[in-house]
Amino acid sequence: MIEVKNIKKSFNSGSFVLNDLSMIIEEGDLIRITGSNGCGKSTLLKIMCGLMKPDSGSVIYEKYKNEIGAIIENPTFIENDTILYNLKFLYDLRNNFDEEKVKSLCQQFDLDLYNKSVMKKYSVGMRQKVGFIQAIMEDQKIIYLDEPTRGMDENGVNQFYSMIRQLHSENKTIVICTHEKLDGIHFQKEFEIKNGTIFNKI
Amino acid sequence: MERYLTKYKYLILTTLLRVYLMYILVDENTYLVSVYDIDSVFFHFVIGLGITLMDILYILQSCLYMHQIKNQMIIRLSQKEYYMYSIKNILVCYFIITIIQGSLQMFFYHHISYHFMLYSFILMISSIIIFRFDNEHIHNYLVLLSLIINSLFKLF
Repeated sequence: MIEVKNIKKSFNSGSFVLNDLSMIIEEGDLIRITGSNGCGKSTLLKIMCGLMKPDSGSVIYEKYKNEIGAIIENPTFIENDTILYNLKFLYDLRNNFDEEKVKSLCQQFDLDLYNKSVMKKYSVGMRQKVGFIQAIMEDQKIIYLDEPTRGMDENGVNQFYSMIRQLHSENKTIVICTHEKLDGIHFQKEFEIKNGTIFNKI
Repeated sequence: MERYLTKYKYLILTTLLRVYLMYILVDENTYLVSVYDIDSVFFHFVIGLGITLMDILYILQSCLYMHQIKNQMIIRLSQKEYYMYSIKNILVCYFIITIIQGSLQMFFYHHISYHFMLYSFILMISSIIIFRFDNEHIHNYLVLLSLIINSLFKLF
């Protein structure tokens, strides 16, 4: 279980982007969070990942705190290196690189792990796919995705749907922040962020 | 090949400049440059500045490489571990520079100068400070100091 407790966050303007926001995420939940531009979706994910500190409040992880995978905003990479180098670098930070597994994930997204092109030459959609792969390749138990299908073509979006369904069947906790409907995924819970607080839609 | 050239361009350039500088100094049959030879002094001063600048760029570029995937690293590690990892990266760059300079000095002059040890130490500290504390002013002073010290040592 993940408990987001009374999160408050403001930026330079002084007004609160997140104002006393609380929510509970159960293990194995598949959740969609929506909201207008600048409503605080990415800020919430950053706080939940530990990339940003809230002004007050806390995020409590019952377990798997160190097993988070995420795409936050535009995924960034070591631009002058290849997919293989980037994924291996990230994988090796905590585990030993499982080349076969990563190769198979890349194949599912029509990516060539051994392509010699450097990351800066890839399109937005392809970068998004690589970003998604890095978020799931280490068998992470909690997955946070911010606009994960941005720039992906229809085929890529379908591959993404099928991967999410597979991850959900493996009891992974998945939170997706997006404007898009993502028709191919059946969400258990849907939330909307409005005026700094969160509302339950489903 | 292209990506290695991009990644190590400053190290390659600085190594070539080091070899050139040491070669011409050895060719003059003395390690110390004559202070009365103004042209020669100015020339070595400029090359010394160039080497220092590229050493700094090499280390900063190396930090920048990792900075690009800072978020993914912090999610996997933690803020503290990320900075420790970065400092380790800076130390690796520092040792590579030291080994190249040391090897070249041994090859050309058969000894390693103390001034280079001091210079590279300041270079390392300045790089760590900019990365750890993100304090531009302290960094600028240290870079300036390392430039002056290196250039003075190159002169005398």
